[in-house]
Amino acid sequence: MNLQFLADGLVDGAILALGAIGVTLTYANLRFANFAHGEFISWGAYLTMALATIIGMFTGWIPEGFGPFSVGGGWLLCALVAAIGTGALALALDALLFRRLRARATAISSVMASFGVSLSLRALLELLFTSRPRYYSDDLQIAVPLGLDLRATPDQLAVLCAAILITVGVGLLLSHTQLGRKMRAVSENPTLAAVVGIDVAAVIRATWLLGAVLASLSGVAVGMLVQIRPSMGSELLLPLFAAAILGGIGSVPGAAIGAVIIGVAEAATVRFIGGEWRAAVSLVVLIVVLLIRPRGLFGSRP
Amino acid sequence: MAGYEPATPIVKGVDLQLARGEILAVLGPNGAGKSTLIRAIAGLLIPCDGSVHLGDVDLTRQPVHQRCAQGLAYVPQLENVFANLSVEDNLALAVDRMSSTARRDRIRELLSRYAELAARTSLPAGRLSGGQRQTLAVARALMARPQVLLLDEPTAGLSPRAVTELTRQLRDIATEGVAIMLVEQNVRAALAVADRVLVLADGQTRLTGLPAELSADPKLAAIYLGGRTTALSS
Repeated sequence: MNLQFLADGLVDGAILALGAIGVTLTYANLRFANFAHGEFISWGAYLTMALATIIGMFTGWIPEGFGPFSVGGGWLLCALVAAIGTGALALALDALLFRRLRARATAISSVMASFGVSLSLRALLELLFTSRPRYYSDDLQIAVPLGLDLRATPDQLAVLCAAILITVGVGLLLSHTQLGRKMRAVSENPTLAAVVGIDVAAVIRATWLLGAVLASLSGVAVGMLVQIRPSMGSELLLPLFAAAILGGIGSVPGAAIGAVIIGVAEAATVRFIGGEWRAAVSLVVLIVVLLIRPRGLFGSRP
Repeated sequence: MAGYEPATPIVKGVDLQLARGEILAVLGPNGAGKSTLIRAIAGLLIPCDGSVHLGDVDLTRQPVHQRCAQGLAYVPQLENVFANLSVEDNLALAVDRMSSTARRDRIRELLSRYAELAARTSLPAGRLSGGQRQTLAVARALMARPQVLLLDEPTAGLSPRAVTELTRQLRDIATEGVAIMLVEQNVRAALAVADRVLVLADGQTRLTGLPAELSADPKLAAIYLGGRTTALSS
């Protein structure tokens, strides 16, 4: 049996993991399901392209690939600046909208508002960039053989390595630093967190920033491997939530493992059942988890 | 001081002062406004009237987490530890403006004082016994070396032995110059630990005095137990 679907699923899962970490942290620390999280993925992808284009207009810079990869250092720099920009977008949304809703409305108001934000942000991208798909690079990448009859493009391998490093880094941040402790404390009991001297509002800002930066980077990864469209983020929303809930809300390793399971399950479905069933995988996983183990693989007991 | 629901003051006309090293127990029947009072001082409720001062600093408009940095530590009655975090992480959380070495030293210092915690530093706090949780909550409150320690019904749900242990701990803390205020349902435990007692009923101060005076005062039983004086005589 050809195991190529495993390799493809792993790469997809790694990209999903970057988004799912943000979903799980927002859900745990702010106590609402942010349906606009997918838009941070799209905005990160488009901001990177826009930045590179604008710099190119002024300086004549044309992004070139580095070695066997389709993008180079200049592009990565644009991706980092775009990630910070996406983080700023998230902070602005919190200051203008979500913080006010938290102060005087129930969680469901924030959820409904996030639907509105999602639609607006997507429409704005369509207005600015049209809904035509874009590609970061026209170069054709040749997949290299990895043994065991598996193949992957250099870009896929780079994205996989980067996603693993980032995920491990964020996991360590949460388990070993004071900011991580504070985030876990706020997710467990915000009132007690304030009582012991934690600035809960600052922890919430850090959560937005971290989630949006990771989502933005995952958008860039999608752009490198596939294409970018204004709807790319919202199409990933269901798998993101499935991964976060499968892993257990609030758990970074859980979100990463959940994302890899979803990615591989999707790839296996495409390979053995049929591409038209791909979108059903996340729904099935969600239903099964909520029926059998609602707290997910690594979630804490309520 | 007035209550937090507009137009329905729960606490009204309570005036109290705490001195360094003093333990004040606030007693009163259910619904007297004890918890409202301590929560207002801690900053969890914003009073419509009245003020909270620590030394020369007016804390009345400061948010909860800033009062903490000013030297006010509060131990809530329920859910007063982070159950999913380890004992050590619970302690480490409590101080922000401290270098990581200073934080580690302070944790070690407190663990040497509370041996029952020292044996369980990496255990999630949710797996501690009731008495151990209370000890952890008190130790965490001490992390930032507060000037004032507020405790909401610290003996609730504790075994008699754990109550004795807590009493000893609170006396030790007061000896170091920390002002302690505790709100209690458990009259006997409160009279045993306090230097001074304040009895609340219907949101107002009804009695104040020394524990020895009050335990003999029939008015205390009248307020507290609806007149059944026998319950206190043992």
